[in-house]
Amino acid sequence: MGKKQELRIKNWLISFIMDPVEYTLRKRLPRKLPKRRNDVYVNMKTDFRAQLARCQKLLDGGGHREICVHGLGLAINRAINIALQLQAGSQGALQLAANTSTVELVDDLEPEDPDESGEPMTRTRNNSAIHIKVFYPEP
Amino acid sequence: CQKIVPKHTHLYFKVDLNLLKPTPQPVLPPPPKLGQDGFRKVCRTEEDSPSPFPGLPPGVLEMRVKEGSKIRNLMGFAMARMQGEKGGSEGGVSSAGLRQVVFTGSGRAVTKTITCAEIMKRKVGRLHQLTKLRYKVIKEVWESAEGGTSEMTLHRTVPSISILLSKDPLDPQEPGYQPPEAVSALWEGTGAEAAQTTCKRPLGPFGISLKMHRIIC
Repeated sequence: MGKKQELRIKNWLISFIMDPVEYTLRKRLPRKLPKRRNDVYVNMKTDFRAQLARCQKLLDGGGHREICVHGLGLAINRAINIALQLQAGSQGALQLAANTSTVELVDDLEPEDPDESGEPMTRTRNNSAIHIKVFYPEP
Repeated sequence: CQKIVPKHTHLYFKVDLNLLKPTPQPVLPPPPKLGQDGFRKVCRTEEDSPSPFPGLPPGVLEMRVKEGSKIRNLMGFAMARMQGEKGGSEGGVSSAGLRQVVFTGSGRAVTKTITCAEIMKRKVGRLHQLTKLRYKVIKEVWESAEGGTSEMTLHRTVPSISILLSKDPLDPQEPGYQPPEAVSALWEGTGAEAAQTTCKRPLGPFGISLKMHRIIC
């Protein structure tokens, strides 16, 4: 995704700048999202089993009746996998309720050479996200 | 002499164009994929599973999103069916547009599936959504490369997603239901709860507040 995005932005720049200036692409972190104790934000850097174990611990030892697993972009797959694994490990006791949303992300474009005429720019793009509520249904 | 010059330029152009074109590669048969212990994958079939949305009328448009599907193709088709073609040939249904559409995808196509649904929600507006997750079973048959007599069947599970978008109201009690324009409500609800839990922490830059939090605990 990263390479593709960079290429797209490069093409986008070339499309209206006659003399393309070298830019570096800096991705800002996603907008701050709510963080309760039962919120788990899944990423692609942490080991899958560690993240699964963390969710399992919240449900078993943490005393939470429900947890919320969030995934953005590529991590959507992992979030779904974690939720389904939790459900499979509970012998049908857990239920899933998934919601989807769009998250706006901001990229900064900074000119590599500050002496050149290039202006620093920002560009927003959208990415998909998933929010899965994993819960024990009320009896 | 004058006649030859344009000929030359013509030739030069022809060569140049040929260079730009991708040279046709000789088509080779794909090498047999040898997996574990000289086994070769023979076929790969998706096992039929019941619809994640029981009670849907038959004939609902189902968009099967694959890894290589182009979003513009999928959306171009689905949007035309949902909005209704002008002067539709199929009678009343197509001219008014469909009421419901299902997007399904599995494995690496899950993200694309969600993106399609999100785009449609934004473009059409006022759509009720129902999202279902489950494992999809894929049956793979492998056969021995040498003899071809021994066969092995593998069952793989791949996560898959199904998203139902409907212009008509759906059951709000169903897990995975999302009312129209729910994004702000989702964040407002969780944001308020989050504020309650985090207000105990001392204010300040995140790193410092975390450290102080640890000392207090």
